[in-house]
This record gives sequence, structure tokens and C-alpha cells, in this order.
Amino acid sequence: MLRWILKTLWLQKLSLLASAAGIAGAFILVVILHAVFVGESRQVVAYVRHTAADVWVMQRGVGNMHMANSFVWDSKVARVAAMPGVRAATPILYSGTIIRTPGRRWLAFAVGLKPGATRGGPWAMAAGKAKPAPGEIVLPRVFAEMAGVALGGRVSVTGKALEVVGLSEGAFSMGNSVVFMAEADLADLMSAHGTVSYILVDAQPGQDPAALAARIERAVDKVSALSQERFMRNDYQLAMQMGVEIIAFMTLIGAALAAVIVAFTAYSQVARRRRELAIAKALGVRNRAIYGAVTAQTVLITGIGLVLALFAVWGLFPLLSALVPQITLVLTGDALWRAAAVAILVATVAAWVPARYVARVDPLTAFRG
Amino acid sequence: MDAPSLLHVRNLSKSFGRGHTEVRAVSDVSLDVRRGELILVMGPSGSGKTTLISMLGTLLRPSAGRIVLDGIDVTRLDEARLPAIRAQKIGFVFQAFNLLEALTVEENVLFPAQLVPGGMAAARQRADELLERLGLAARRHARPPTLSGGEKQRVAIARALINEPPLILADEPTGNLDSQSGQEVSMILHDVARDAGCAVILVTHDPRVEEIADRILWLEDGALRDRRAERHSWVRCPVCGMRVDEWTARHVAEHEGRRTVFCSQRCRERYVENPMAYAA
Repeated sequence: MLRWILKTLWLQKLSLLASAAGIAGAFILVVILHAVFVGESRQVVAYVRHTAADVWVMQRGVGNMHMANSFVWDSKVARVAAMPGVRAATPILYSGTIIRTPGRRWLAFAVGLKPGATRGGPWAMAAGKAKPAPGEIVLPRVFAEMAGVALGGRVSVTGKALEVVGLSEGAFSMGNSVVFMAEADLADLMSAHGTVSYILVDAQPGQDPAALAARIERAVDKVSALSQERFMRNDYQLAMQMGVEIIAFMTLIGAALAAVIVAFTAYSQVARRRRELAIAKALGVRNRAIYGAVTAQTVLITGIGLVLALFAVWGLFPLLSALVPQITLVLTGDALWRAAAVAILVATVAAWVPARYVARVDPLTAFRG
Repeated sequence: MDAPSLLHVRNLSKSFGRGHTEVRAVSDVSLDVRRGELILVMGPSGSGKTTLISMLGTLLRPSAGRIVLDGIDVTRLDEARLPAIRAQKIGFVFQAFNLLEALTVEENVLFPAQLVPGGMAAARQRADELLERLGLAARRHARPPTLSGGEKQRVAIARALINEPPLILADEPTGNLDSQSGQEVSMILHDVARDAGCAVILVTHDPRVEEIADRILWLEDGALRDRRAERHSWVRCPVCGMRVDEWTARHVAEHEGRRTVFCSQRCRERYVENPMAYAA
């Protein structure tokens, strides 16, 4: 039976390819949506991940960075730095802002750096310098290219003109682009002189970050302190919560689309072979065997569609990243397993669509010339 | 003493529709068929031949009556058990050949063998023998679209025989064949009954097949009747010399006011091209 079904499929190669391509399209949608979601979610914590402080100190009640407001009196920086087990304490200012260039506006998060700060700046540079002085700004390279701004060009941040002195790598995404400027400039813009947003703590060797964070919370008034791992997890979970419903919905749409295509393919394959099914039944093939063969055929077409999708995704990812650099795509094994799970589910469900049709094929049709 | 019948049919009837729209396609048919017998079922179009053979093949439930095949009352079996009966006990030969297009000759022949438990190993050797015997050994890897009509029907016969069923049901097996291929197929079916010991029931309009039949059943208005003698008037096809019944012949041509009947459309076309060549 299976051999017959496979050979019949092979005989109709174009139809098989068209069906598999349609299914592949749906799976590409599922995989790419997931890759966008993962990429953007990871990008939310890119600054925290690359900054890699041992402990983050912030305003009490604040537990993350992305889209958060935190104000801590700058006098507490010295108190934290003086605590046993602390090797260094680096303050940064942080605020959401709009970067304006002629004809372009973009939401970004600005990090204000003190002169001589050894931590908290851009982690990779494409061009220029990484530490902006007052009146200067470091932009993500991707944004600069999109906005047509080069080194030495000027952008406006909340009405203040700043010269672009550096272009960073990896600090751009749709939801969380990070620009770097002098702490004094950002404090001016925020009217936040005398405060910092976060204190990045480097622990002395051998210190447990979680224990150090707990000691800082006890010793310094009105601050929260979290280890790097905990702080980053908070931000990541927030990003997941913001996007998980959307991505689940889009995955559902992709899966539904795949199911419709697979079901239609399975049904049309069966309908096209109505006469041969009648012959098979007349010769003694049971409905059950035909269901099994139709299911195997559906799983096979779906599998081919899935493989095509994976190859297409493999080829499409570099292309998409080059064409749409503002979107961060990250392909994970999880996305592939998810697509495979969706494929199995879709194929199994879709195979039942023609079952009723198969059951109704009358073997007597074989007698009609 | 007579051998016990392989197929025992009693008071078989089939009606379609109800009330004033009821049509009785087969009415109170009884017959017994022994192994090795070749039986022809003939009759005019719409007489119920296909309905009868469909019921004998367990493809259609009778409205009344019994069919006992090889000791099994198939009319009492539930639907789920009938496919196994068809696979093991009945071989089908159809007018339209009904080969599976994607499969090769050999795969088509072996197709029913996979429906019988443990059937494949022995079937491969049997398929080799059948293909050899039916002159298809060289075509075993060919696909049906590349075969002639006669070859296709020989493949269908090999397929019908692969599980060594005791009963072969053939519906107009020569209907789509030229006269030579038709005669070949008729002779193969004759040999199947004689050598393999199968009972062969053959539904046909083709009077040439009468020569090989052990018995002829005449079905008219759904019931078996005595065939009226005047229904036959044997003449020779002027092209190939085959015997043709003037009453039932379907291929006819008029030339210079004279009606001529032919065994097949092919012979008729040859005649029409140059009637004078066959004037003698």
C-alpha cells in the first residue's frame, strides 16, 4: 500500500512539490516568527548581558532595566563602593528617549556614562570612539545607516544636538536600541543631577554575587540589589511576557495555515485517485489500510514541506538579516522542535480530513468503464 | 458423483429504490458453480449482469437470497470481513483493466498478495510463473500506460490469479480489446478454469467467447431465462474471419446497400477504408 501511495506521489512530482512548497511556506512563517521573537527578546537583555556586572543596584522596588525608571542618590555610589567584597562600583544614568535625525525618529534607551567609566559602555564598536564626552553620542551602526548619519554628523536628543562620535555593534533592535552619551548631558536632559539609575558592582574574586547583593540591600538604604543572573532573568521574562501572546497567536495562525494546506493536499490527492481507491477496495484493501496509507502520505508531504522550510530558513536568515537589519533574528533548536511538533500535529489532524471521503468511495466504481 | 459446488447461490435478488420507484435489477437468481467450470453470463444491456457479478464479488449486498462461496455464507458476513474474502477467494478482471498506474506490471500483479497474511514470499515466485506463462516476463518493469490493451488485460488476469483464488469474476474482459487480443484473453481464461481449477464467471456481450464456455446463462430483466435460439445468427467477420453473431454485433457497416457485421471496431475501420478488398 505504502509503495503504491509513494509511487503515485512520485508520479505527480509537480503537484507534490507544489503541496510541499505551500506547507513549507507556512512553516517558514512559524520558524521566522519565533526567530524574531527570540532575537528581539534576547536583544532586550543585550546591554545587561554584555555589561556583565556582578551585582546591579537600583531604586528599591525596581527589579529590571528595560523600560524601567530608577533613581538612586549618587552619594550611595561611594557607600556601595566602600562595602567589603566590592571591587568597583560604576554608576550609570538610564532613560528612554527619542533620537531625531532629519526625516527619522527612533525610540532608544540612553545610557549616560561618567568620565573615565570602565564599565557600562558599548561592548563592540564598528567605528569611532566608545566613550562619548559631553556634546557627543555613540549610536548603533544599524540606526546610523538607516538614518543616513555618519561619524561627525549630528542628531537631536530631546532638543539637544549631539555629535556622533562612535558607531556601536549589536546595540540595535526594534524594541531596545541603546545609545551612549555623557552622564552630564543625560542628567541635563532628565533634570536628574545628583542621581544615578543603576550602580554596576564588580565583586572581589571569590564573592558570591547573590550574597553580596543581599548585603548591599541590608547596608544601603532604599535600594534593591540583584545578581547579574537574576537581574537579566527579570528583564528576559518581562520581554517574554510582552510578546508571548502575540507569538503564540502568530504560531497558531502559521499552524492553521499549514493545516489547511496539508488537509487540502491530502483531500485533493485522495479525490484525484478516487477510481484507483475503488479498485484497491474491490481487490480487498480495507478502509483501515487506506487511512493508514493516506496518513503516511500526509506525514510524508508535511515532512518534505518541513525539510524544505528548514533549508529555506537556512538560506533566508542571512538574506533577511542583510535586508532588514533592524530585526534581530535568532534561530534556536527550540524553534525547529516547535516546527516539527506543529508539523506532526498538523499532519495527523489533516490526514483525517479525507477519511470520510475514503470511507465513501464505492468499490463498485471499479466496474464502471 | 458430482463435485460439490464452489459457489452456491439461492434466490438472489437486488432491488434499488422503494415503492413505486423500486427497480428490481436481479430477481430470484439461483445457480451452482463447480471448480474448473467456465460460465458465461450473457444478456442485453441493463439486464442485471453487472449487478449480479457485483453481488457475487461481495461488492454489493443483495436484498434477498444467499451466496455461499467455498463454504462461507458471504451474505451473513459483516462489512469488515468482506475485504479479506475478496482478497483470498475472488479474483477480479475488469473491462477497463483497472491497473494501478504508478506501479509496474510486477507490482500490479503482486498488489493483492500483500492483502493476504504471509502471502508475499510465495507470491513472488508465483508472479514470476504467471508473468512467464502470460508472456509478460519481458514487460515486468513496464508501467501500464506503456502497455497494449491485450497486455493490460493479461496483467489484470495475473493479478486476479496471484492469491490463487477459487473464483474468478470477469466483467466484459474482451470489451476493450481487438479481436486477436480478445481471443487470447478468452483462451487464457479458459485455461485458468481448466488448468488452475478455478471457477470462472464471465459477463460478456461477446458471442465469440461462447465457444470456450462450459455453460451459458442468459440474464434478462434480472432473471435467468432460457436463451431463445433465434437470437443467434453466426457469420464470419469479413476482415479477420472471426465468428460474429449478426443479432448482437455492435460493429456494423453498410456498403452498396449491403449490411456487414464485424467482430471489432478495428476490423470495421479496415473494411471501411477499402470495402472492395473484402468483396469476395
